Amino acid sequence: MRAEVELFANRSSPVHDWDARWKIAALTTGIAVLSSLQSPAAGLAGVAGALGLLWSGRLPVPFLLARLGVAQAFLLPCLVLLPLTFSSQPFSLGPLTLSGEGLRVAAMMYLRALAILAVAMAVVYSTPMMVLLRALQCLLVPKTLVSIALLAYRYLFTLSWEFMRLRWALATRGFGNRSARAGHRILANVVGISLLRSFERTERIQQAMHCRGYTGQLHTLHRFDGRRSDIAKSIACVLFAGALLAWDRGWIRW
Amino acid sequence: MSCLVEIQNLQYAYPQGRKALVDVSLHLNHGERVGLIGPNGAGKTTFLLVLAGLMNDFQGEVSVAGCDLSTAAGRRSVHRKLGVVFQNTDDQIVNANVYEDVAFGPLNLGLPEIEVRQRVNQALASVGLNEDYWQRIPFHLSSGEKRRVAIAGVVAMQPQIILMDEPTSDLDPRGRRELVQILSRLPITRIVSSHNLEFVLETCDRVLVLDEGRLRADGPVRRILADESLMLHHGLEVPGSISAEERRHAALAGPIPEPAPNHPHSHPHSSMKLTSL
Repeated sequence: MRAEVELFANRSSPVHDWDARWKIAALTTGIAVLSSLQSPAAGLAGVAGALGLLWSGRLPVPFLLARLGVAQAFLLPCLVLLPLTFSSQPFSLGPLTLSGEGLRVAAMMYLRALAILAVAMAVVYSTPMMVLLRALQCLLVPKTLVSIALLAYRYLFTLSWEFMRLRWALATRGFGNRSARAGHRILANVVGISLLRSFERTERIQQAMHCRGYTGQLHTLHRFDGRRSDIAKSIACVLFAGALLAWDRGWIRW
Repeated sequence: MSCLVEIQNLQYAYPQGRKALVDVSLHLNHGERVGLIGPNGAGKTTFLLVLAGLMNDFQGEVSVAGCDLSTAAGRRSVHRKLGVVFQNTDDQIVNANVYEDVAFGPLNLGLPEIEVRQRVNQALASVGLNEDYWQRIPFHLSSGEKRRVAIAGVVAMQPQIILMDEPTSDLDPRGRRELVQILSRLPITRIVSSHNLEFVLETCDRVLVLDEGRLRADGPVRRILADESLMLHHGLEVPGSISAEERRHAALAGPIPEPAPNHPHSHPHSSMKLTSL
């Protein structure tokens, strides 16, 4: 099993080489700004900036498109449904009556989510998980939260591994992806058993960590060395976010 | 030889009430290599978990390397002196590369980076993992290699005693031979729980037989494992490498008495072992 999020975390690029503490601090500010944008134009600029950041991480495009594609499965239904459910500013499109306000809200939601996702992917895929968690600790995130994040991260692998084993067990006993009611019941049982089994395994993982002296404080061999370039990247990022916010709010006009 | 593990009347019951350990008493000295055998459900893993300071609701007195495990402080501090290699090595792997994973324990001990690196290098060398492995992802390694990473992670903490739960469970014959060689090079006190009796024979000097939570026998490994009636009685088998002559000798020597629960020193085989070391 492989930590997929860490697949390209040890490469070299402006985003990879960015000190994790500065990167997280700056991009969290960026995400906060992106989540508060109101106008579609600023939203589009935010998406462009986020995708630019992702592109500068030199991550494989098919890999990124696949992950962004998964997100579309959640975002596109909202994009379709919201214009149909709002009532203000109605207009007709063939047999359908759509809401202009609903369309604007859906578009903004889509743009914000896409931009935030792109920034988050840039952070997560360019930083080894242990370094990321250690950086969070340096940024004074409570160690309980960091521990939860570490165990949740480990739990994901355990869960997927247990689920895979049960799938194999079902497949070897002739169970297909039947749509019958009995099939759904078996699948529900499998999900339940996976959760129970992985919970037990996670307990063992926690025991193993305790036996190796883990008390909630995370340590790594990675040394943070904030350089001028890291500070410059962070300032540039925060300035871009500030400009975006000012444009969105109409404090500055082009 | 000084006492490293001292257990008096250890009892443990699962929350459902079933007794997992009943009146277990024994002493273990520095440098001893002890095998822990018994049928499934005998209480071997529970016994190891208690020694590892991971169980707090046991009864009796358990002291490991001077840490009183009946206290929370003792259970916390025992992890600096005791290492555990779990049955499933995947449970033990935390980091995304071998080097960082082996460094996990020493870093938790608060050691300076230079010493951590020194210990990690030594530990990896002691289990035969050269630099080609250092940056590899542990989950991509074979079972034998993962087992080595797990042992290196424990060895790097320089514990006084190592507990190993079924170390050969997922190893092929070659992996098992390599593990025997690795263990022969490690001069650390250890308790190895295993169903693989040939492995116990090769790597241990003393053996404890647990069945239904009770310590049924304690003595020199060849003497115990050659006792056919004892082994069969507890759902075990005499290993093939024990000669017919040894079996005959064991049969002539008569049955091995069960260790007295309250007096670990009084057991004839236990004291025989302690004096022979």
